[in-house]
Amino acid sequence: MLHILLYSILIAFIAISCKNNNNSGSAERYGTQGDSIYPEKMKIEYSKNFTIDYFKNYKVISVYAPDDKRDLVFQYLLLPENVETPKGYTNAMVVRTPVKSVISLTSLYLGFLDKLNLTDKIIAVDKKEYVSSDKAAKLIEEGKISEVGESFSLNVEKVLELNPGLILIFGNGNPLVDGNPKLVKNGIHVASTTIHLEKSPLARAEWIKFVAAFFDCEKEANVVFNKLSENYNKLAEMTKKVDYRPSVFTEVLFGGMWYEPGGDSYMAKLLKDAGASYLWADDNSTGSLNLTYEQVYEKAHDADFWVNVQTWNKIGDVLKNDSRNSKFKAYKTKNIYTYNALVNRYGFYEYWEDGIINCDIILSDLIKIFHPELLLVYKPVYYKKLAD
Amino acid sequence: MALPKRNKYIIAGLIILFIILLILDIILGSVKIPFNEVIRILSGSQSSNNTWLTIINEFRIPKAITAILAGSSLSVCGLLMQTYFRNPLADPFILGISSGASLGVALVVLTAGSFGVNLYVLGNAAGNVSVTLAAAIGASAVLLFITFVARKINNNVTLLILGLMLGYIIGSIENILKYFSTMESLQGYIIWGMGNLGNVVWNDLYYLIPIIALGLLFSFSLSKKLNLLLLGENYAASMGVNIKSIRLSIIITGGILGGVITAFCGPVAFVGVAVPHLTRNLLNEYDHKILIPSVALVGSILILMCDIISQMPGNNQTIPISAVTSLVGAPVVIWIVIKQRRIKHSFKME
Repeated sequence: MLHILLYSILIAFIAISCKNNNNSGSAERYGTQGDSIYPEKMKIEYSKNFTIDYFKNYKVISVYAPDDKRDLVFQYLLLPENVETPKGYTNAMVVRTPVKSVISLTSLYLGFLDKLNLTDKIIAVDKKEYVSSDKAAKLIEEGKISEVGESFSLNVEKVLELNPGLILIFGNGNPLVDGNPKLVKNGIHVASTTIHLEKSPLARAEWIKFVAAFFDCEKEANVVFNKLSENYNKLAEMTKKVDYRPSVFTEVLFGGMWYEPGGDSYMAKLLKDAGASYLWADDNSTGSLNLTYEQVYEKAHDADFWVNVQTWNKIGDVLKNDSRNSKFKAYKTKNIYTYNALVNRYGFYEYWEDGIINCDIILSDLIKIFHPELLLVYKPVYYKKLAD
Repeated sequence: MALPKRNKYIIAGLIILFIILLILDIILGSVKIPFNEVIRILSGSQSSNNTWLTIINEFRIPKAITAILAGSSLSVCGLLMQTYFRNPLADPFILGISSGASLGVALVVLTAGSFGVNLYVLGNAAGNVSVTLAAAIGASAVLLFITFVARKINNNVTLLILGLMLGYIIGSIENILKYFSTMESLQGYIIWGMGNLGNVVWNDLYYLIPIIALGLLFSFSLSKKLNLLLLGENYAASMGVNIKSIRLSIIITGGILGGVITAFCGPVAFVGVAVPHLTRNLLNEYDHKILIPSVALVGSILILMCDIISQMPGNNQTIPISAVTSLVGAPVVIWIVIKQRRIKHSFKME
């Protein structure tokens, strides 16, 4: 009896922690199912780089190496307060959920937290300039969210003082390697993802479930993600039957190199789903290709579209970057697009903050660029043509 | 100037090597273009493939010319510094000129965000107008300072120490800037620091060629005085050389040769220190009338060679030029240190 009472309190706690969680029947459901304290579970459908397994009174997140071997990189053992740590997870990081506060050291996660209605759990970010959502910006003005610096120049003492329930970073998926070792040693929970190495936009967005798990926000994450994937897949279906796939290349010369996304990267997948023919689609790498200008020119001089041109805004920027850019057909036809139409109050691009979780909107933008006839009344959100 | 027969052969050999490397540098690249197509394009006839024509004309030829300019000016700058300081390890970096250029670039690239400068527009650091300008201003500022001090101090060892110290001060300012900059600007700056010949376009060359050519010619015109300087400032003064004026001439010429190239190509390491030694030992010659053109030739050969090597691996990736020049340059310096006696001889230090 006492156990059931305890669990009921726990579940009530979980329900409170997630604002929109209409979870009044949880205890009852647990009672009838009898297998787990988690009434709603998250299934990982797109990402192959992490799993969430639910057990009776705890859950385990396993992060795998983002390659073919899929070696286990790290495990998080998530369980409510007062539940005894199960055996067999000696190397896992034990985190009591729901965590009460979070520091995001990259803007990648701000969009997730916003969608999960967890913005008020953020106590610090790397740089306030990267924050786009009005709600978070207001909290910064009120001094409720502080700045702790980017991961390589992190203000460790400040972080220790803030004593966050969770720090979110990204890298190779192992927080002991990716994060500041001092923090982990001092018992601060650092979670790392390999979100940037995912092969498809939906797999990237699916890491929202990883974040949600720490807050016991299974239900919210499922709602957000299911809607997103449904939208995305519907749009991608539309371009499957297009007659002509315009050729496209991306990025700009930077420091003498041209970093084109690999043919197996999420960007390549996004361009394919948008009905374009990406010039490096045959390649099978996930990361970026380091190309010389010559190599890009040889392949892309005749391409119809040039997208993702970093921070360029005006057609004039194209030649300022390198006067030889005028030789591209896409320059002559002015078919150059950038994703920086949405700028936050500090001049940073919102694309980097909520672009991941809004990949359906980004896909619509690109479809509108490549196949305007498919989305007649749609107005792009993130993307815009370079101004004259 | 009477050249020994041996040296005539060596120089003829070097010229042939230079031409072969120049052609190789244009033929080899990350995109495969058949040999006969390259020859057709170079000889001015139409190529069957317009893309190849653009690649040769807009990418490879400017890069090869830049390699020659960088090789010759950095090496001659190094020679001037070595002769002036009578120090075998002096190079374009010694007076803080290169550091001055770096600081200029650091200020522009690393603070890009804060001043609303668009990093991806000015983007590829080297070869870009704002960056080049910043580097040139940085180099000139250091140069002006050194020139000013040089007029007060008549001891070149003091000047050498001053240049080194200036380099340290600038280095730490750079480090502070680096620490507080964003990942992207840091990457941009680090890549600039590795040197790159490929960002110079024809429009840049229209300025670069005359400036470098003038600098080289002026250096050549100083040959006789440089020869006397090798024997010591006092000796040179007793032979009627105006020490103050030659010192200014050397500093300004060296500064322009080193600074301009650093501005356009980033800091290209080791060429300046290695090539003069290589040339002196090859020709066993100390007359600057012969040394200056030979050093320019050997410098061009070395950078062309390094550029070809930097294209090598798998034809898909390039290694930064500065890494290659250091790989070639460092062994040369090691060799110099081991053959100490010979250096002392060439600088009449005994």
